[in-house]
Amino acid sequence: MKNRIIQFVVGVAFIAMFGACNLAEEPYSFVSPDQFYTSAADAEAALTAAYTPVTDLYSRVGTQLPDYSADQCFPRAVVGREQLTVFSYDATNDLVGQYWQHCFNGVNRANQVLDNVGKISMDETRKKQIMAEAYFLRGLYYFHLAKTFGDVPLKLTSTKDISTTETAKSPVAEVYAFAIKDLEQAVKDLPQTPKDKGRAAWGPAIGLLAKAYLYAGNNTKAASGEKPLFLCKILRGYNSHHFHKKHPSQLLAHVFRTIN
Amino acid sequence: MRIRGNNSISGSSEPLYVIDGFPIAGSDNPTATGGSTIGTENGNRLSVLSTLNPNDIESIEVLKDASATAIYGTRGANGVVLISTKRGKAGKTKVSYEGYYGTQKINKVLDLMNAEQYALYENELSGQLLNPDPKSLGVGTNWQNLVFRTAPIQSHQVSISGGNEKTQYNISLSHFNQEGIVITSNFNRSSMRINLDNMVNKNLKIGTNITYNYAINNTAATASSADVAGGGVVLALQASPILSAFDANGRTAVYDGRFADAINPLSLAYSVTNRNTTNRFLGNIFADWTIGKGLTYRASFGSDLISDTRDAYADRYLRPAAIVNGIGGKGTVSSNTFLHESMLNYQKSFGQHGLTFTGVFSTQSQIQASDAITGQQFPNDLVLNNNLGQAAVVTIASDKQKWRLDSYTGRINYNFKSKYLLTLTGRVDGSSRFGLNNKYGFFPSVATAWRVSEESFMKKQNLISDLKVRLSYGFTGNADIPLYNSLARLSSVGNYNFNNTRTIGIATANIANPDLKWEKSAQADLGIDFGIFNNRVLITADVYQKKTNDLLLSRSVPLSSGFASVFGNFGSVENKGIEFSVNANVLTGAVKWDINGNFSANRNKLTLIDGVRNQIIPTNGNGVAAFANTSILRVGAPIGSFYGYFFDGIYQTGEVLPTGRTPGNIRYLDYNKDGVLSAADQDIIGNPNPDYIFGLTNNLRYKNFDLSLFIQGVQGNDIFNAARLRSEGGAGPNQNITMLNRWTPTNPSNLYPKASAGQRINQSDIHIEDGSFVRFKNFTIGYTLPSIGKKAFLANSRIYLSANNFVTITKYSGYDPEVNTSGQNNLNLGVDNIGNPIAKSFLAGMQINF
Repeated sequence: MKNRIIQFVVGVAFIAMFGACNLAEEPYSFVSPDQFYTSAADAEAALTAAYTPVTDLYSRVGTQLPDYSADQCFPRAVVGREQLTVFSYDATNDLVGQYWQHCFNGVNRANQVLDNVGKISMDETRKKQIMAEAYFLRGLYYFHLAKTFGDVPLKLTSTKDISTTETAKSPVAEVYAFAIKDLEQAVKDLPQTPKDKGRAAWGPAIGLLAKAYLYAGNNTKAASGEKPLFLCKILRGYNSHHFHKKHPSQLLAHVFRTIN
Repeated sequence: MRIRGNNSISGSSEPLYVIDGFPIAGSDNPTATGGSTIGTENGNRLSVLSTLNPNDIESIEVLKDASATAIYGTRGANGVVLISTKRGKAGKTKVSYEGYYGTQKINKVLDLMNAEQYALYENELSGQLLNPDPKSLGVGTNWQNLVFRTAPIQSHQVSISGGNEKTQYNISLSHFNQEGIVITSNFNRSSMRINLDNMVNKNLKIGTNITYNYAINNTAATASSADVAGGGVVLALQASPILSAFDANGRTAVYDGRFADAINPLSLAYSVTNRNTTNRFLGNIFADWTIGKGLTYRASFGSDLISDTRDAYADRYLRPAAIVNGIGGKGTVSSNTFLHESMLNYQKSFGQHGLTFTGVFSTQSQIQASDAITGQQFPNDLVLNNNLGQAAVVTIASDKQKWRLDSYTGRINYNFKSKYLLTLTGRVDGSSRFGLNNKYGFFPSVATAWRVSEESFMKKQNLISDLKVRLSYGFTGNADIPLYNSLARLSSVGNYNFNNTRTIGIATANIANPDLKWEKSAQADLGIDFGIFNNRVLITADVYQKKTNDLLLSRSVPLSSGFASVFGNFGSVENKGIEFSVNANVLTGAVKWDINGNFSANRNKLTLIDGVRNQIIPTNGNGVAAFANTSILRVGAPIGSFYGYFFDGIYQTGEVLPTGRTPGNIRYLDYNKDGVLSAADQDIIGNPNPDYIFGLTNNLRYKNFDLSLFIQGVQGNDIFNAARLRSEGGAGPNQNITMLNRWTPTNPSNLYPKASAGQRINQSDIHIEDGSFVRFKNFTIGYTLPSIGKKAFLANSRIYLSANNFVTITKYSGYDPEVNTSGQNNLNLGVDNIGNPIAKSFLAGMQINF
């Protein structure tokens, strides 16, 4: 009897011991990077992630920050909103921080697309468009950053480890130049008609590009370059329900109107 | 609970509990979520001990120094609490009942404005005659009286123990019921325990410890957030005393008109179901085998199986729930922990040398799976959360995780003539939580002791009966790292609409850190044990220094990286201190009097953050809304130091005012004297760590009477009374009575701001209070029945009366100086944002032995 118990106990103990070798962490409820960026669906999901800060930006803070800083309203004094009206805010102001953060979240996610989608084997036409949409988004975020903050860090690739989290600021002229380069790249491959409602297309990209030229002080290029500011004829020819003819500038707002 | 200070920032500083050989850390105790978020904000998970029946405990031992805790490796850095439960003894079968019944009550209520005072205040606040006749409103509603109650508490246990030389057993059944001092809250626990030991033969013993618990916790909603549906107590302090609590039908009133946004504090209790039901099986079986002379082997196999279910519902009488037509849900979490331990022990003495070798292998793993369902838009409130299919909007979440810890420990004990003692310990820990580059850590320690009293020169005197000098140095770790933090995790980061269809986006949610590893503490301890008068007075004194490196820290990174923070081993912290305890049998005659006192002082200092910065302000604070950061991490200062502005009086009429300020607003000090008030004018304004703490127990016995008194003291700590940001903030919520002296043009107060919504109130040193207290924790008087008759029926049965927390001497103005709204969070120690205050209680109980 005694020996059986001992044999059993020691046996089980040994089994437990040999089981104890594998200390690799096994993820269950999330995806690890080596499992991702392998299919067309992954590319689309990664691109969608780059779009989500647009919602964050345009749904609240993107309008709050400029509106509260202007004359048309005096906001209720919650979470420092009134500081924007009286210009007493500092870097700790919630809205200022959010504006910055949403833009850079977008930059990083666009960079994740640009870094990884290229190597996925999928339909080449769509792949080109995905890259172009990502260029457009990165250009858009940098345009907002440049006009709101001036000098900001330029992130050329996605953040992968601790050592790449800190980047020095670049002068505002370089930031505009970077945004313009992205938008020029986007203009090349974006389709005339967006694949889905809510996506970037050639029209808004050329509009934003022209605007970026203007903000960067390059009036000549905005007005007379190869991509003039309001290519009204082209815009009118552009799928008409996508924008208001009389107010081409509302085009962007239309493209980014999201239905919640 | 903290042993020798805070060793960690993001990891736990809670000690490891080892219950009958089964190690359980605080984070092993999961809580189900799901349903409405109302009531879940506080994050105060139940302590490991809450599922243990205190009457089952035979002994508690606290391990502090590095040598004693080294065998717990990466789990020992915060100290170890060993708990042994009662076992059976051979002999006569003992049947006993233990039970008590009592009541609990809040220690004090805060002094707030009544209806008349608030009406005047509100008129001033709005600049209109909102309340034309304040006098007619009288005292109004005293919300605190409605939210708190005197509540009963009771506990009952029957245990049977006994056995023969071969088999011993101890079985018990218990029930505990505590009604909360906040209305509708209560805690129920039923438990069963079986402890068995059996000698199979003289070389082999097998046994088991099994306990099963069933607990239902109806939690009073407490909350740190001020503006949404906070807790009942928080709201009771803010609600207008003009409003009535109940409507004509006797239901909690729902308000309209200008009070449409007001939440009835009582609806937080009566309209909210906030219940966690926990089933927990904790048990192990073991075998002790004596292989040969001095050689033994022990194997144990254990499991801790927890299943927790949350039921949540908030009905339409609660305004935030009415807006969404009822909100409710269910959540479950199941956590299965398995443990195996193999221990080989060899003891040998030759001549005057004694040697013991111990080798331990242990492996522990846990799988946790959880899900949570939240529904909104219910057709009615009739079925609560029992038919979630009725909800029009449902959100679902689920998660699964696993960890594993393998460890190999070796220990050598050597003694010479029982005078010189040496212990060498080494433990290797491998944990799945660590990054790929650091899977295994090594934790060695050494301890020496010299029993001076065994020396021949000590034998000549008889004053000193025991004298031992101890010295130890060793390393322990803290591996309480949130799971999967070394990996980059891709997950849903939100959604975007394409063609009016919600589309999920996937991106990297964090920065990978393959170097992630344990926090490593090096501790040196010098101690002396001293006994005089035949050990009638025993004194123990220790000095220690503990340096913890590779502190786990969620360090903020520039937001331009696309992330807010990165988790890794960055900082260093140092704790040093002294501990002193004395145990004296003052009187040993007919009147027996024992005194047990202890004193300890710990100093905590952050010595390194990341080598780059010398201070960071953590963004993951849990403070009052819009005051998220209550503390700062600064090199040279203790962890948890409060951070804020310095109060500099009130702006008076006629003064030169900065933009945006008007007379009656608070003036903060231009601390850096740069002429403008900015975030740079903040500094450390308080320290939540005490200068010293002490405890004093007196036990008196005379004939059949016994009496004990336990006094506890904490001195020199600061409390950040965050609740006063609201109650003395001069805005909409009800105000402290002190605000009767608020600034007005005719009452130029230099202490209390004017009534004005939207004035900038920052956390400042005016909200920092001395949290020192001396508390009479327990007073018990008991009477043991004399033996009746020859059979000694009811022999040693005892009845007693006891009072807990009955006197507190403190200058603190909040509910209670023993406060920590944010639970175990190391960064928000000593922040009082109104939790559920500690109660005083009066109990009557008996212990009957049949």
